[in-house]
Amino acid sequence: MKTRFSVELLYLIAGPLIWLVHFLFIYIVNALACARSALTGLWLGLPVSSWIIVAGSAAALAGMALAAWRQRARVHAQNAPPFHAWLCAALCWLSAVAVVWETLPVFLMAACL
Amino acid sequence: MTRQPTQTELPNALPRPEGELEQLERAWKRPTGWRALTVVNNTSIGLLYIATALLFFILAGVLGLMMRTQLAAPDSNLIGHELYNQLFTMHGTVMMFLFAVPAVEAVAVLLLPNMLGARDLPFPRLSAYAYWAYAIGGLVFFCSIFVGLAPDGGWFMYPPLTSTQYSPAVNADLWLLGIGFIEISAIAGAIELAVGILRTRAPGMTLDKIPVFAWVMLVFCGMVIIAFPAVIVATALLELERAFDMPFFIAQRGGDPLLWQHLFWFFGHPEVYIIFLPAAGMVSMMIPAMTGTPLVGYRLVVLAVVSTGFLSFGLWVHHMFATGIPQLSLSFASAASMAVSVPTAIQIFAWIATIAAAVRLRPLKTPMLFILGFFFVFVIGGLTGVMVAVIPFDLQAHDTYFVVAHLHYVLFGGMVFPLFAAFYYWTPFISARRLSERLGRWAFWLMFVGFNVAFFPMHFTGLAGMPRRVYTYAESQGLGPLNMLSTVGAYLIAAGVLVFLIDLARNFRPTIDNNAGNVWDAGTLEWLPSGSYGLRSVPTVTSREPLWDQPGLARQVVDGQHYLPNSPAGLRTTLVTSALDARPDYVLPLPGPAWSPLLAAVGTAGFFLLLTFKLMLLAGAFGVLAVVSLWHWLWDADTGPDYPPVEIGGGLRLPMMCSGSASHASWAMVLLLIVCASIFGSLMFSYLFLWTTNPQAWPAANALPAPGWPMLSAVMVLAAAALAAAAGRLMTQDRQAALRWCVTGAALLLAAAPALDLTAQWQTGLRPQATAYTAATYAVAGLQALFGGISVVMAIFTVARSLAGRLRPTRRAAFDTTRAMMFYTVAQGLIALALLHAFPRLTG
Repeated sequence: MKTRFSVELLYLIAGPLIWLVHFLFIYIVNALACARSALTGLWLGLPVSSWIIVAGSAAALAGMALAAWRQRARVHAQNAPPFHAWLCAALCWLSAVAVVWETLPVFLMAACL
Repeated sequence: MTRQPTQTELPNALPRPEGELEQLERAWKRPTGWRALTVVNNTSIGLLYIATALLFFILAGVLGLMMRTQLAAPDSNLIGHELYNQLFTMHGTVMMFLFAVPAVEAVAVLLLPNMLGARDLPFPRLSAYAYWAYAIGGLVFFCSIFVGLAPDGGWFMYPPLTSTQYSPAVNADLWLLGIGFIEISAIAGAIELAVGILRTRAPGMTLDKIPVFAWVMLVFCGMVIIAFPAVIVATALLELERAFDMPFFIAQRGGDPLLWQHLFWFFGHPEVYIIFLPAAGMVSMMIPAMTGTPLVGYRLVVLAVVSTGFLSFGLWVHHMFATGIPQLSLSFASAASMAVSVPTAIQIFAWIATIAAAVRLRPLKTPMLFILGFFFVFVIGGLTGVMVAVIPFDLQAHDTYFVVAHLHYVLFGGMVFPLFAAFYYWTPFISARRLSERLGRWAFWLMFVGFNVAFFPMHFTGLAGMPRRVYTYAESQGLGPLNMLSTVGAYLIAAGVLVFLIDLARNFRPTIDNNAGNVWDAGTLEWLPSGSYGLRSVPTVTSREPLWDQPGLARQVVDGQHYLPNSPAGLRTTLVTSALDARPDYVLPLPGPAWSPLLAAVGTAGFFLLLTFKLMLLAGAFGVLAVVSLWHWLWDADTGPDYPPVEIGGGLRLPMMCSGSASHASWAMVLLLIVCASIFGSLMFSYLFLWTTNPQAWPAANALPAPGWPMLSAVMVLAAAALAAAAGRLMTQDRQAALRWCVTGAALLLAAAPALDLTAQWQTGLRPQATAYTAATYAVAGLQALFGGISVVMAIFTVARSLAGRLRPTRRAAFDTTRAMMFYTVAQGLIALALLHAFPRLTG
């Protein structure tokens, strides 16, 4: 029962959970890049650290899409309440907006000023 | 095909057996006389909790009035700067830590069991302990202002101002130790509430039928569990610096004051939502009752609440825009600050839509007035929030009265107005009389007008450059008239609160058995008739507003026609259901009144507060009192198969106990371990942060202890894990003697491993006072040693139970929790060793 609950919980909050990991990731990548200057070399006009951030954002968005899609299949297979699929998908959607929104400054701001 | 339950299919038939109700009342009777102090019923503790929080609101409000009086006129000398510093520090600290968080927890303790259809929370004595620790500790802490010892470094206590160099007196220590342990009380409450919400809901109350207030409290608990450890670590580090000169925040020795700001705001910003979300949840409960319409967009509100809980953790850096962090990093926080306004707006639009769909609204009742006031004030606060989330603007407004205005619009608007709405709304639940509508209107208009008169001008004084936290200003600055206006507004708020108190004195008559009842015609379960035992019987819920959609429910519940209408074996019990689909799992016997939670709270509060004054012996005595009381309390807490399975109605026969991972105790333990992991995570962050800002303090590989030392430590930790795992098998086989040896061995190994590591570090000549690196190293190893110590104490308890014959394969919660703590300590120990020994080698 508990295992089922923890798995279900992870699916329900997958969106914001991925968002949180993504946020900490981009913050740490940029902080380390600025503190150590190893990753600030330019590549196609952006610092390498910023490309890592963009890649992290793409991975986060893909993860959210995957979680929402799999939860939908799970809910269908287990005959669980549709609310569980809806909440997962809606949270993924809102978290995806936040991820995109937080990635945009990468193209607008200097990394380490 | 689903069947609609009908009158004839109710779980329990009428008439109910003779004496059933009387037995239920006897089991749940509150102690009287002196023993009233031992009460653990959630309604009593909840009410005490709210009253105490309200007392702190008034006390901190008086401090605010004193500040406003000082600032009424320019160049005023009414209050000296020293007292003024203490006033603003205490006003903020008391409002945040002793009023806001406890108040929302208190409302939850009072209401949640009834709202969910439970008889009480799953750990009633834990709520009593959390309450008493808070009340005693908080009152003593507040009294420090009467002797000039109150903290004076601002409510966020930034070092280096609060370091020994600039704050040598004990004022800062009082904050660090006093507030540090009140947070422990908040965490205890959060664990209890979370388990209650997940496991004691009425049958049928699936995730999409949980009252919104329960949803927000679940998110609240998650946030407390993750956020509070960060500030516990921050306070511990600063206290270690002050007491033992370990330079975490001293720049000259490689420390960094910004570390404090990161840790503090990683707690501090979620804290704003920890306060706001429950208040918003109350609003989501009240508006349907006031309008006679189910909440529009229930699912969207749940979405908003859950996502706000997460997004709020991405905002901590927006308190640090002016600290020189790279612009792109600031932009992430700025973007997150704007992203969080999306779910908040979803909630506000859902409320507006519900009001628009109202079938009854006029005449506006007092709770609705406060809710409308909340809309107005909070939305302005939200808008200025978006303004200060814009970095260039924030650099102008930083540390000015604009920020003071913004934070009061958000917190007073977002929390105090809804809380007063809640006071008016839920009084009939706990009082024989409802509060007066006439006085309520007076209270509302005085507070609403007063608030805006007091705080709106602060936007302008702030933009004109008036810094916050100054005790006076020059007449030539031209800020006098606006400040006088603010002061008049502050007194108007006070007059509003006074009217509310008069209303309380005239009309509030606490009782649960003869309460005024469902005067609002609300739809949720807390408005069912109830007694000190909660609901007479626990109904199956088929909608979000059962009282609206399940006709005759109140009568059936009172008559005992639903589940568990009695007190099996004459005990206090509540129904435990599964977390996802709320199916009845087992019947949980609950403990009754006892002195031990109160004495444990006295011991804990005394220990921490006396430590501040360096009265070591006396502090030790209180510590012993706490440990003995806890021991006494827990000794009887582990129930086994003492009672046969019980019929709860409808042919359902449930056990009166549960062990293993499905038990409520195991769920609480998992939450506690998440708290521990969060504490360790914050400390790891501190270590790595200090490395990022000051890598030259980190030693070369040859200066570290030889690799053999950490390897030996790791082997000991792994051996402990093997012994704990073996003990699990022995427990199942009931081989007690071997079990005792295994548990003892595991605990000793867990304690010895960090001791070995500390010795190895010491032998290289490393001293905690030398640099930030050495301080961080000893802090990580020290935390591991602390967990080793905890494992030893838990092992002693488990072995003692085994020797006393109280540990059996069917009565094993003490063992299971000890083993879980040991496994956690093993995992933490291995990561700590990797951090202290492998990381410097990899990066050096």
